[in-house]
Amino acid sequence: MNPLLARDALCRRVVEVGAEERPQKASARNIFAVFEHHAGGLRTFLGLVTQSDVARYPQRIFADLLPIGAADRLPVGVVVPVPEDMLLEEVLARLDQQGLEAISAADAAGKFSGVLTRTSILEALFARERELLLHLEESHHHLTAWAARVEQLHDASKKLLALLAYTTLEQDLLQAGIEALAQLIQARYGAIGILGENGELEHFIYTGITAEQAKHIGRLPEGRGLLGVVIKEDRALRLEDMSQDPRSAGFPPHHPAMKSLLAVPIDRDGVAFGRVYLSEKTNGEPFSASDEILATSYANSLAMIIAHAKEVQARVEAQQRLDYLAHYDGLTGLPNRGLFHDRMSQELVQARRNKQPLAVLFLDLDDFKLINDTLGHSVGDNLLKAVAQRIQSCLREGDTVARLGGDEFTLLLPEISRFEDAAQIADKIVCDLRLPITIADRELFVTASVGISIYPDDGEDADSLLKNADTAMYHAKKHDKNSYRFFTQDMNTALSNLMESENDLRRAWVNNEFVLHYQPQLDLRTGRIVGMEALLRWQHPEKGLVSPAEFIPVAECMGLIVPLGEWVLQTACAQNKAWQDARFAPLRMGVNMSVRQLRQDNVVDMVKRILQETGLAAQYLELEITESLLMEDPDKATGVLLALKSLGINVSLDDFGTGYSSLSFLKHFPIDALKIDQTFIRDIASNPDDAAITSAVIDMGARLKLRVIAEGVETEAQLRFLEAHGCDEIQGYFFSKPVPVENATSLLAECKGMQPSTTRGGRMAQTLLLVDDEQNIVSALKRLLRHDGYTILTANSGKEGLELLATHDVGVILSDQRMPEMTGVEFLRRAKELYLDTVRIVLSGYTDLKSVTDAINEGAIYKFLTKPWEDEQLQTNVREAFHHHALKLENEQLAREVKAMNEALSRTNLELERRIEEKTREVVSKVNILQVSQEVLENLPAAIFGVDDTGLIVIANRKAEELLGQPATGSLLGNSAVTVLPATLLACLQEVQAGESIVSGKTVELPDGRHAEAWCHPMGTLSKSKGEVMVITVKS
Amino acid sequence: MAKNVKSQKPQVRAKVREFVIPVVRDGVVLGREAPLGCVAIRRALDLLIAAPFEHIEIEDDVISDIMIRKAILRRIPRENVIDFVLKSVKPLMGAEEIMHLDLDVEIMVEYSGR
Repeated sequence: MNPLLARDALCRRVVEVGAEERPQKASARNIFAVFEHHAGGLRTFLGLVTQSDVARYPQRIFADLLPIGAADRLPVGVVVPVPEDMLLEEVLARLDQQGLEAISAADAAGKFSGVLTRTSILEALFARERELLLHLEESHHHLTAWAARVEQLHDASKKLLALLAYTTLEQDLLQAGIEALAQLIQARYGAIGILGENGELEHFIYTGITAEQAKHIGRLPEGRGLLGVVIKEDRALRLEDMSQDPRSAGFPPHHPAMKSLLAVPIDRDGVAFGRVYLSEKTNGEPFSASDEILATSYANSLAMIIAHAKEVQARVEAQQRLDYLAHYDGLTGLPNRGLFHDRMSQELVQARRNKQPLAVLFLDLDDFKLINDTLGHSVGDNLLKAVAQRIQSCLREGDTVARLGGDEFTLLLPEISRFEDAAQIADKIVCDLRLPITIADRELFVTASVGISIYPDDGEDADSLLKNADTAMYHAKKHDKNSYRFFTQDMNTALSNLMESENDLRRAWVNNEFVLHYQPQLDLRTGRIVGMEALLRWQHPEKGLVSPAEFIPVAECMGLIVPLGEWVLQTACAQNKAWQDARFAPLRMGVNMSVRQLRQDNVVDMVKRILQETGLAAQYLELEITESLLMEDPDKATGVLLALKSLGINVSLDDFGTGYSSLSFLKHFPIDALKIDQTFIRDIASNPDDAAITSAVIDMGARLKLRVIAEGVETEAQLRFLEAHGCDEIQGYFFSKPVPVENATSLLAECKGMQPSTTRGGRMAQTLLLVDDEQNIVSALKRLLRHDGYTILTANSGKEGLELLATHDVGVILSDQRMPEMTGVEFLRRAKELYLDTVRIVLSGYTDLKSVTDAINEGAIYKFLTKPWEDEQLQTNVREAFHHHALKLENEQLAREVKAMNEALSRTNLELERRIEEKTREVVSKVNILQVSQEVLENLPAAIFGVDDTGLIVIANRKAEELLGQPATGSLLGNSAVTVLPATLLACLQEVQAGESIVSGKTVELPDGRHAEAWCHPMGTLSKSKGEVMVITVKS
Repeated sequence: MAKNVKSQKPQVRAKVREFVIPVVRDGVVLGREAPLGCVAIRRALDLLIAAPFEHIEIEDDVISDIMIRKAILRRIPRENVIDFVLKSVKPLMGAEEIMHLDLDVEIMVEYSGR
């Protein structure tokens, strides 16, 4: 604000008077400016007269009221007027200095311009103060508004700065930015347009226009007109009315009308590559310079961000390129040595963890140098690229091929299940590379030598594996070229054997060297052969009979197993049919199904076809499928089994207990039998765990109504155990090994079987088992007890004792405690677990009190007797033991009988309930039928009577009641026909009753004169009822 | 008009005298508090009297100005006039008065020797 000057404080109450005038009665506050008037209208200012001067000399003329000398000397009086541009402070100082109340002011020309009084000065100062205050208030307002705007700008700047953190231009951020800017500048519309390298609009973000409006507009700004000017000239444009600018290109249709424009370029290094523009301030005012500053600031920030984003992008791309070059071969695009090593390290860790082999292959092109030198490096490079692609096409997902350099490649094959898998891939690569490669219209032939090393056999770390693979490659190149070799000779040998085996198998197939052997399956209850399992054998002309374990896996790999399996099924079914035709007792033929067979889509059709071709009924075929096979794909397996079962075929679960199935699946798989694997059968007589498992499986099978077949039964002890525990069937060397068809036929012809043994608890055998490692003790005991009528068995060890227990019905066991290998307590514990109904006595001089008392508490020992013994006491104890045993057996027998009776009762109850339910359903059905019949009868349009054999009316429908009318009793029923029927009808009835004929459609006259047709028929032709039925229809 | 007054007759008594010109013969002495100021007196003298008058400002507590005919000042020095006024006239007037001076000035001329 400018300082106050004299001219700003001129008094408004100045009265200009002539020097010769006299004061009139005027305002006390007036100041008189006295002038000397001259001719021509000129005047000279003489001085000032205040009212106080007037008051002092009221009669004097103004000239005499002036300060002395004013009228005469100086034109403007003694008091020099102050210049009107003098600072007010100076004027005040002058007044103070001269002791004046008022002073005149003169303009630059010295002419009187006014008067300043202390009051007017004060007033001016007050006014200035007010002005200042107002100004301050306004400034404050203004500042506050600015502060708010600055804050908004700060916010907007923060948002923009946040953009710097991003390396790409995010639409959302730009959107937020333009909205913030538009809000800050209070513009209705705003947009950002960023151009690409080609000058075309790459990003376009707008605010103020709805999506629908934008859709109507239908196109983006083309950059012609004013927006183009901003870009081309790289300068801002601020226009109040765009339409007035000749450079304006107008708006497309549907574009909202816009008048004012503020457009600023987004530029970098003097080149504009985008624009920010706003239009139509909300307050209707044009855009101000400060708006332009804001918008430019924003555009600059945006330019920085874009430049930053581009830099970051370029950096990222460069980094990616570097990474790529650091890890990949520039020529072929394959991983390079470094990356290969990395991957190998990772795969080795996995292989160690999962205990799975992996293969490393080293591949070198044969004679590549010659091709390179002869045809040039360009051809060589293209050849390498083509080779790389070929190799890649041979690999599985997860395999890696890398180029080490030159013509050397390394391959990593993780998770191979067998070394043959690696051989397969190597073989495929070698074969593929033999095919011609066309480079620049020229066919090139190149071969490769491959070395293979296998983790962990050929090394456990990357370097060893690579080195060994390289060595193997070298050998391959040295000896064969165009081939592959394993590092270890064993693998090479095995592979060689495999290939030989494959060839052999193919030859065997062609030459019909495969045969079937049959192993009988016996029913333990009857001892008869109830089934045969067909087992494939290979009759090698040189090697003789080859075990299936040797050739089946090879056949699986080759795929030969499918036709082989079909042949086995065909042959087995045909053989079974042949046996049936030969009138042998029908039996089931068990045939094993392989993984590959089951996976065939047509397996069910194949089985069906074979049954039809051979004529074997489906119920005589049993397909044996391993547990693990089913668990590979339970859902699919269930589907196949259901389809097979629908044919009537039996299905058994082979090798039960060796797989990893969930027991719940037993509910879902449609199987008929469980075949307990021989690993459980082997030690059932001596190992309580195997015994417990086998017993549990048998019990489970019984409860699930599945047949249980024990495989691999080789000893009588095993047989007896299985028998005692209720196993259904057995198969094993104990009865017969698998035999050729002729031998099997002989077995069937001889009706050979086994004698079913007496079961435990049948005839009570008083068999006593003496176990002591000292033979003399055993002998002494035997001598003592032999006269008591027992069958005495002796053993010198726990193991022998168990074996005897397995084959004999022992009632009482008398065992020494202190024996090598197995103590008496231990032996008796096992005996208790395996043969619970034995009575077990320890006879010992050695007292290990704890183990004995523990054994007694567990119930393993019935009594503990000391050595040396009292003969009589011992005999008594043995006798009591047998008595105890007998009681136990009797109790068990009773319990079994009670159980059997309960089961029978339960079955009977179930049956009864079933029958009652059936009957009830029948009755309900019949009642329904009866009710329906009654309803039909009631509604028939003819009168129907039923008369029983006593002549009583037992049926009369509504029409009958209407025809004859109700008698006194209220109903025709129960009345004698004679009493209620009219004579004409009675005659018909009696005619039929007499057996003379059937009345059919006879016209009769009713008592009311109407005529009717009558039918009368005796009952009993379709039911057990007796009597007659009459039907009367009244003629209209 | 009072109740017991029957009538009133205006009567005018006037003194008519000749206005003598000049009004002032030789000078005027202005009291500091006189109702007319020196400018008014001067201008009146200029208007009414052909003879020129000299204005002498006095620094005195009673007398502020003397207007004396310039011809008088040819015969009496200014200081003498002032002195005369202060010694002789001042005692006779108040500050609020304006005194009219009518002076007879005789000059005694003496020649000495040759």
